[in-house]
Amino acid sequence: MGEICACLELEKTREIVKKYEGKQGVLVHILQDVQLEFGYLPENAMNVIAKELDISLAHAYGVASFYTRFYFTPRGENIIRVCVGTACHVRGSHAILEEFETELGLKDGETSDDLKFTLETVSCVGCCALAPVVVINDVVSKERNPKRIVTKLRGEEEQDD
Amino acid sequence: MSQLITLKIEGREVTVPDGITIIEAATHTGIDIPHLCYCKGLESTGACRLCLVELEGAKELVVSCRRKVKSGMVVRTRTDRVLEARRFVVELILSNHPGDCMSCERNGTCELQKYAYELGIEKTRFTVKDLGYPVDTSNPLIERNYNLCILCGRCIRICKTQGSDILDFMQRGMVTKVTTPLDKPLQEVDCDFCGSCVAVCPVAALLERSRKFRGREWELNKTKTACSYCGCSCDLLINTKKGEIVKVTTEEKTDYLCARGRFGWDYVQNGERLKVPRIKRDGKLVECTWDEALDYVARRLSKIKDTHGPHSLGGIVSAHHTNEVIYLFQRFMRACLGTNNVDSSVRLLSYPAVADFIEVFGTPDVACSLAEIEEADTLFIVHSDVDMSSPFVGVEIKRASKREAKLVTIDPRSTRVAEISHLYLRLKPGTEAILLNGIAHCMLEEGLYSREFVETKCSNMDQFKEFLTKQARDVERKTGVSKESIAKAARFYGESDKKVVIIFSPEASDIQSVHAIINLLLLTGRVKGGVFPYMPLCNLRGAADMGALSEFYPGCKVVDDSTTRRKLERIYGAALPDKPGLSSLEMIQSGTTISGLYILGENPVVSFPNTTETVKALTSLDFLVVQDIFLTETAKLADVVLPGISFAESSGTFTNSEGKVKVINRAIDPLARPDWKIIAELSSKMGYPLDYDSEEKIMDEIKTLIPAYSGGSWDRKERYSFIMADMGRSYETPDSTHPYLLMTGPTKFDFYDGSRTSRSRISQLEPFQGEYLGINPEDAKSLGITEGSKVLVSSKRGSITVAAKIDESLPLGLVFMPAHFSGSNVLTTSDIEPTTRTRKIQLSAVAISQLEEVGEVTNE
Repeated sequence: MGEICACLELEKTREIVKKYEGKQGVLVHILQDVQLEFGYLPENAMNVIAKELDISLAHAYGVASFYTRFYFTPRGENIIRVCVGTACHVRGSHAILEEFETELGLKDGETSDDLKFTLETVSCVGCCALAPVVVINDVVSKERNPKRIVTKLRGEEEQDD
Repeated sequence: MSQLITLKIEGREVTVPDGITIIEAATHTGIDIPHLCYCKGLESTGACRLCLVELEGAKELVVSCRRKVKSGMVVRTRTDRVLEARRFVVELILSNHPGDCMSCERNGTCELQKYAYELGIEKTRFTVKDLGYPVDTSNPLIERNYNLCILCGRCIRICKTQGSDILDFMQRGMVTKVTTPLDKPLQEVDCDFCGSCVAVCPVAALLERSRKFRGREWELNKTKTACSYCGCSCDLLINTKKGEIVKVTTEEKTDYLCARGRFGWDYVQNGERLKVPRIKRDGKLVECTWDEALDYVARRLSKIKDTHGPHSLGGIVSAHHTNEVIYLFQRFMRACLGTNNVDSSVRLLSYPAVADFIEVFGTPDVACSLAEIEEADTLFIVHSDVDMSSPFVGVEIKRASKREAKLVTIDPRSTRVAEISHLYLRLKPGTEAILLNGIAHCMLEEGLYSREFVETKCSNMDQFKEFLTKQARDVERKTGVSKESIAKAARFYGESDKKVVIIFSPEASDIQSVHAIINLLLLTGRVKGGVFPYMPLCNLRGAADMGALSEFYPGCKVVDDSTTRRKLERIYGAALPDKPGLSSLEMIQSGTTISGLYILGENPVVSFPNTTETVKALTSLDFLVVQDIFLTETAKLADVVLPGISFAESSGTFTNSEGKVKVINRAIDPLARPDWKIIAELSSKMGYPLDYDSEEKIMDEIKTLIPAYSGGSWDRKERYSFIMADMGRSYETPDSTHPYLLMTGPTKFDFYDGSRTSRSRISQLEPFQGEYLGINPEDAKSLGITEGSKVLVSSKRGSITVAAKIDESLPLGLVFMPAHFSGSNVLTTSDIEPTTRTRKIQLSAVAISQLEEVGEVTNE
């Protein structure tokens, strides 16, 4: 199984890199496309990118790790972001974060072993009027109770299954 | 030459070449501008902002490591404004750098400490933040403590130019860290461990682990000497404290050393070093006094000489010894024992090249310099594992390629060098000669050769044409390289106005490919500076020059030349034999006529082909004396073992691949007896005194015999002949019982017979302790082998069990085994090629099978 996945990663990444053939300054675009494809930047894919662009792997990782929006480990199906910016902090975002941590058994930045959830903090999402803000899968959540949010997401999972 | 311009620095008029930076101009004048990220020899980035200076007419302070000088510029380097800016920079850096100077190894040489002191900073005004990174001590050589890192990026830049380009700034802001992809340990990211990053680090973020708590910088003595591993024999400084080696460094921070040179010295102080002679009594080697040992050796050798004649004695010397030791050894063998049976590592490692050079050019001195490789327009690389065998040559190739030189690589393995090549000719294993002849043929057909040179200087062009026409039949089919690629290579090589150098391994080349390489040189008239044979041992050139070959006297004069012989007889005061002696391979084979053998530093049990035969021949000798620093596999079989000394304890000279004579200086006291003294004493005991006070006296004698060693030059031929021979295959043909071809060769961290590297920490970096079989992933799959599987590898000679290592660089059907452990040569054949009297077969046919977890098979 692992082998098939690796092959697929290599194939797909090569296809993505090929789209940018002959163009300059394309590394970040490629990284974005690859992350869109796999949800993160797999090591195999990074190797292909470095090789195809004739740059060192270290350079590729140097650029990718500069941006916090690039990930190097697989991400959960549901991404829970708790804003800890100034406004949210004042309105008690830390308590919310802690409750998520207990509920999911994850720390900030971690992904559950079953790859269902990723929990992370952000510094501001630009809607401080709604503080404290919780963003579920790129949508600002109306619900702020971590327990209810997680239960709901788990419920949806089950329905899908 | 660039133009000179004049500017003012600190009120002084200075005239410097145009195009340099302000900081370089200041250094010219003896003014030191503080700097951290700038490092002479590396590209400037202007990151640290410490080298800020004031420029008259400029509003802002300027970065002096980036700003180029201009005529009439007025620069001030120490104004209040500049100093305040620098203080701010240093204080900011100190806020991220724990001030643990008390027991820091770099105390006294730390560049940050130096500037903090110079700027009068007692404490930073900012809160000091503890970054809390764990210190990486997961590899045996380099300690990485990023809590001390000041993010100057020097290590990143030097890793790009002379390492494997595995470092960069990762993440950003406060958590920026210089590290490897995914912060992996160095040993997992193909690090070469050249240690260049350690050398340029201005603080103690990167350190040699060997030096920890073993001496502060000001307590260290530095002895300039040269490396005793590969043929580059790079300059190095041995740092000692109280007679113990602490580390090895270079004169300039950015000078290159490979892992072996920088870190591979610790065998010198290994507890297994022999200090006392041993004699075999009742099958056991027991310690004895020097007099006992030498008297015994003298008696036994004399007895054999008296009963069986001088030619029943033989001597083999290793080319990692100095010229002085090798020279004295051959004098002892020839003048005292009276035989030409004196040979050396040259036979197996470089003889075809030496013999061809002497035959065609009249001199062994044909190689270009290492600097010329870097300057070349085009490099032809035959055997591209050069960065394993001679890492510095690999670095020069890389530098040339960065400078837009064209690389053409000929190798069945897609090595790192092959991967950066413009043209990679992936040929079938063992068909180098055919391919090179094919290229030559194509050059003839397309007129891509120097007609003038060939007509005026070469005598046998017509025969050569005929020869090539015959050789060029079916090149495509035989080599697996397309006609188009061959034509491309021919055009690359045939470009007459370009400086082209052929780099090849004399160890891996069969005699026919050496012929073919020399013919290419003649075709284009590139007879000077057109070739670089990289020698796998430091003094292979010297050993040949010194006469450690059974058919050559010192100065590479053939032994049947009576003029040289008479001259030598006069100097040596003894009659010399006039027939070539036996080659080292001939001395150690079944049915050998040798009864008594003196081996100095060589370890045939590991380094000679066909181990089983070698051991049989060695054990059937009447008398074997081995002089070495360790009880090697060969020494264990000896009747007497004499402990010699390592390069760190020696004085003398090596002659490197370029033909440069490198000076070796004693850095620590000898742990046993200097090798030349042992030879001299033994000779005296046998009634032929060799009276020298020192190594220099031996060199004086060498100088009288070889003009090139006393500032003169080698005699060179003025007319040349193409060199032709069709000797058939240099590989065993695979068949259904032995379907794979085995290549043995160098690896990154092990070396030659492994006797030195296996006793050094660097060998810990080799996968599977350096004992493995490299195999293509598809071959592995079809055999059901995965990484680390135990496999039985067998040939007609024997079989061994090793771990499998999946290696994508290998083509189908070719497997690889490191040459440095007592195993790979169990499989190889010792068939002798009659003209060169060295091995005929480079690649052996083997069978591979996977072993069950619990196997009954033992190593033979």
